[in-house]
Amino acid sequence: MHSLRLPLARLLQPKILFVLLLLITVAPAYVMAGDRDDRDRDRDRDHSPDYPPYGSNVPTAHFDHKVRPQLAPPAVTLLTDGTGRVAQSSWNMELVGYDTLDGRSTYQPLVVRQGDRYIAYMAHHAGTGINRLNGVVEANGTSLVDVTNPSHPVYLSHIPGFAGSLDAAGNQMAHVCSGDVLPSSSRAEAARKRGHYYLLRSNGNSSGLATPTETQQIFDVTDTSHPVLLTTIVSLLSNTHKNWWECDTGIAYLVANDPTQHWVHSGSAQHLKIYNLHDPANPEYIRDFGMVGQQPGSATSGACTPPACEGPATVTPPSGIHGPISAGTEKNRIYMAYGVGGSGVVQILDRRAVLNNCNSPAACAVSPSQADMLAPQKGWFTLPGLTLQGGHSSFPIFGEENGRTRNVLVVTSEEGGNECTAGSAPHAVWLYDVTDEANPRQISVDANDPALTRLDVPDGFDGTFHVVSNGLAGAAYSGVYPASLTPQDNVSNPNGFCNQGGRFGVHAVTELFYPAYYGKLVIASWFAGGVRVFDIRNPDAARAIGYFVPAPNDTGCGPTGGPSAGPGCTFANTGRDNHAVHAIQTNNPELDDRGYIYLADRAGTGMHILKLTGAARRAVEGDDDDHGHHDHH
Amino acid sequence: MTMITAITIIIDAVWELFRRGLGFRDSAGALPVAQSKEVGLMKYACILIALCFAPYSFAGTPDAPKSAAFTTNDVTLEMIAKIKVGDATGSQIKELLGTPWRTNNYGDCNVVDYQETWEYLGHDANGRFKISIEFDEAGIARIVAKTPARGPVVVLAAAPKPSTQHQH
Repeated sequence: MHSLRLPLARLLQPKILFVLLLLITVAPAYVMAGDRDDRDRDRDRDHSPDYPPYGSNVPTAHFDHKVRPQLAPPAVTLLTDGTGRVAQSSWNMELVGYDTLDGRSTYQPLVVRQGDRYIAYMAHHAGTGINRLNGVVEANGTSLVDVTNPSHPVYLSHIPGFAGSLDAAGNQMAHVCSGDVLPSSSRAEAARKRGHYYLLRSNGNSSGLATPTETQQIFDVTDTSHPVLLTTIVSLLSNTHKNWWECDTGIAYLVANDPTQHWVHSGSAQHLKIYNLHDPANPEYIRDFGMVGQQPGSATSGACTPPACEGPATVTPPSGIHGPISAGTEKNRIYMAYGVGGSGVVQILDRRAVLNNCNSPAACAVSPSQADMLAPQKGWFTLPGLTLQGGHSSFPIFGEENGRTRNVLVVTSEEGGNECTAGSAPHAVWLYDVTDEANPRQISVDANDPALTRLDVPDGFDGTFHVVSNGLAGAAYSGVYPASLTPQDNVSNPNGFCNQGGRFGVHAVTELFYPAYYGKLVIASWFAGGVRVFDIRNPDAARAIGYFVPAPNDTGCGPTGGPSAGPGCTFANTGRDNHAVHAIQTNNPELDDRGYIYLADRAGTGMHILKLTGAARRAVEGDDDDHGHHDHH
Repeated sequence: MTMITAITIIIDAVWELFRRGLGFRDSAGALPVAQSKEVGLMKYACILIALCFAPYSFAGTPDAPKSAAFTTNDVTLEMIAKIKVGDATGSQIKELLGTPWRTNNYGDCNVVDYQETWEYLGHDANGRFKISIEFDEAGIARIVAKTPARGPVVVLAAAPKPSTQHQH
């Protein structure tokens, strides 16, 4: 070695060696820098899907009429710690990733493709928790999580809500649009928005204060680690809820109420306040809108008789809206679910008529006439059980069957009480054929189900319902929970989901028009029942095809926040007879454009990222080889 | 230790191996003066190159979380026993127990049984426990429950449910 070393040392003088070293090291550095520029450009480039809510290119569902076997979901398993709670259980679904979200109660997940990353915007209920990034106790707001690798979510930032009364707090709803997709009225505006992403969120919910404090806000979330408040769209609101924002037009349907404008509602006091947010920094008010009978000057009591309310309402004044879903410019329809968990009505609107018939600054924008309210209405219907079920979500599926147009609406109610409150109905999902908008009709009816639908989940672990009849007939018929379920509150031997402390029943469905699942699956959150998947390829014979019930988090909320050892994230909920249980409460599900399913948990359990497996996967791939086969994990 | 100091130490170590491996030294182990100047130049060049690379080596983790300490009040069961369920307000409980470790308010547009919950942490002979205090819509504590390190929740105190609840 010594003999080789000396000639090498003579040949490779330090100067020459330095130049060589420089070439070897600096050249790749420049190449890497070039790659990085490309990556930065790629990151800046918008990759938003072109279907709602990002665009107006609605996929076409291809329904069929194949007779597929009704599958029997396997029973869930219970934890072995003597608490009687449901352990992680799944059927044709698999857990991919998880984050505690610092134990914050979460309402809605929204997952956005932001450049070359996927960002989950997790919208929280009111509350407080420790931000793992700074160790500070912050009022619940919006958590931003990088889920580009769904197996390893990276918590990026938390946009706190405002402090003060918890009644008046929370940021439950989120929508995000790219500045490259939002239209612009000038080149300067387009240049200002280029490469930027904007978060629309509700701020506060239902304080009930004499001088209300709820608002709707816009944040610039281009730098996901350092979001910046851009503007408050509207303030002094008494209620907010599930907004919708069309990214390709900028039109935002904000759910809210300004008590000084004297709109009237039963239940949730909220209707639509419509803005054009094409330039998020400069909101443009368009009009207020809701169910006929909610406009200022309408009756606040008495019978609801046409034409005063034109039939839709089951209560006077009509129930407030939960949230709209717009199908965008191409389909020109907005679907409005009213009532939340009771007195439900679903309304179908002509989008252009809503947006063009009565615009600010005309007086009718704020205080429309009955004719103004009826002009955009194309159809409406009530739900089985009438007052017992509410309109929470109404997701349209535009499709065809045997070459003929067939449009279906997925509708959910919302369970509102803990442990199946006596006299309440099992809240479920329904399918309606809305091809003839003036005459919607329910399909996938199950006469033996207490909610008269195939898209339901029995409360009993044995697959049966513990309900009685409400004693009414016709449209008012419903099964209802009795005063006592047996064995009542026996934690060591629970008989079903109604013994898990919190709510059990449907809440929401996914709202992304994701083509791969569109018209094939309905994915619904069921509180203590986790997430439920139904196969609707034959919409006349929907069937259960998958579920995932997350395990409660008993030890994974670190004392400094975040997913480290410590006290459990899952909150206790208390039901009948002060029966307190730390059980999961799957609140909302949502998809990303890769097909992953994200769950938010209102009991603070965190965010679960799932994928489809087995028969559920085969259903979206068009494979019918499932003949009752169960993939049970 | 700063990033530059760390990089300098690494460069020194690598340089030392590099220098010894190529035999840049005389029989006494010392470098000629002229050569050592060039070697010194190379050393600084290496440091410079390393500094150029430093941003790339950290580019993969731009959003790495920072941690910070947080301590919560450790409550005792004696303190918890002083809560008057059915009467105590949030401010009275805060006066008694301090700031809660975590809170929650389920209030959305639907009826909820007890929509607001506060949590405190404590320790006893069996380990860590969690105290949950649930409030009604009037802000009155209705249920106090203890979650032990293992096993089911134990309701320590409860007051009858208010007779009416209003909808949002």
